[in-house]
Amino acid sequence: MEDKPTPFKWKLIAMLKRIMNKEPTNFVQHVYFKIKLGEWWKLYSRVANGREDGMTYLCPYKGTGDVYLASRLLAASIGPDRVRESTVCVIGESSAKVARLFGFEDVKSLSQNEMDQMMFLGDVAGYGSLNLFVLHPDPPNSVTGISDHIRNYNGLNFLDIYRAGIFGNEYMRSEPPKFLDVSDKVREFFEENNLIPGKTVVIAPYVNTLNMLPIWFWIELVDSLRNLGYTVCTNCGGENNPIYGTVKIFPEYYEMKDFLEYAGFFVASRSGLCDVISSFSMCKIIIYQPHLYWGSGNNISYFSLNNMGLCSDAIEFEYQGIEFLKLKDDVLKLLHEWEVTHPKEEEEEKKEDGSE
Amino acid sequence: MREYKENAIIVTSNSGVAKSVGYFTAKIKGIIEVSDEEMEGLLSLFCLRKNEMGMTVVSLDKPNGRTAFRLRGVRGLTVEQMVAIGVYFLIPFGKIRRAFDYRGMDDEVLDIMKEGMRWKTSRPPSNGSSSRC
Repeated sequence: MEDKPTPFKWKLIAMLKRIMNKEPTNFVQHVYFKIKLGEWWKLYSRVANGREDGMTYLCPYKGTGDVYLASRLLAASIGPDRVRESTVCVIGESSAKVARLFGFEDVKSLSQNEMDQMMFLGDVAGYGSLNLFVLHPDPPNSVTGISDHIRNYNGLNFLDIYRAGIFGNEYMRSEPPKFLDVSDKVREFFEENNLIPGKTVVIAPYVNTLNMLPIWFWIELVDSLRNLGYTVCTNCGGENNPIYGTVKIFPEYYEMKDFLEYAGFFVASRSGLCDVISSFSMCKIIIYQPHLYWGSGNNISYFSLNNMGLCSDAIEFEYQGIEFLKLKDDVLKLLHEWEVTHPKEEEEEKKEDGSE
Repeated sequence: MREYKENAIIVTSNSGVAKSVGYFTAKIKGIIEVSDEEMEGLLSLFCLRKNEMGMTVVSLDKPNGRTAFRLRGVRGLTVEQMVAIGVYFLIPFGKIRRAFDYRGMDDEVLDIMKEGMRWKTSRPPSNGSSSRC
């Protein structure tokens, strides 16, 4: 295969970089940063200009959980009228969908590079003077944050850092988003795919920020679940494959509530998706990865949904070392316990009829 | 000083800091006093060149956009903890127990000493002043 010639633009940029490194004189630096600032300003004008009320909100990290908390708290902080009018910038379309859950209509999906440029401009020119508000306590690629290492000190969790670090109110109250009613669509999907309502386990093995559990663990778990009479779905999008023996699903965030509550069970490695589904009423088993430290504490103490107050009914636990077979048994046991302690309405009615 | 041993140069726009550093440590290499405007310029340059500058900004509200001061007092978090862990990454955190003795009458130095004592608790300083470089 023949190599394509390098475009002139890139040759010129490479040459300028070489000069920069060899001769970092005031003049060269001045020209370089003038060009850079020009680029950043152009982007800023496109993204944030023309707003009368001024403020543009930036989510500089694309983690689903980060965007969920930032949008949820922002919506609670500015109220429904300003939610509809505000501009929120996020990284990628997936993050944009999370922000839209809370009613934000003007959500701009930027690339990682564009977001970095917005942050550079804010760092240099000042966020206040540009009417930019950063929705992250310690933005990546910025020198403004110092809270990364403070995490978990004195029991400071993920939500505390967002509530106090961004909005300055550690007691701030917020509401989960309103999800759409898609129950007919869900019922149809269950019928088409022979899934059993109330006895279907949705597993979410794929994660972005944290570590993934080995695939063989999920295969073993699915096997056992099917033997016990459950039907199983894998929540996965893009290039990820569903676990063998499961139905692939990838509902939009606003459809998640109806889907998961109709299914009945959710088993996942801790990821941002767990924050999104935290308010749902069904069996939520969240597996926390051990040996991950956030400041002075571990994964579960920093991200626990129950500790944060996002819900109080999540079943959360950390597995030990590489004891994945024990982990599988634990999950099955917890699932069974939940089923026994939460009988279905029909079963309850039957019991009541019998007693009468 | 636990972080930089004997090579640190302190750049400050607060003359009280310049005068009182000697009471806290004898290990620093030098102190440079600059005006507020010069400090703003230096911090803007720091934001632009970031790690290439070899500088650590010891503040909870500078450079522009740093909002760590909002965490002061949350779950009992002290300024001492935030500076030690957040700025210098001194982990594990150990509280400074040494008492600093100043018997002079310089108001600026006295202010720094008082402020230092207040920051060792989680209570925010009453006059709303911020830490400087």
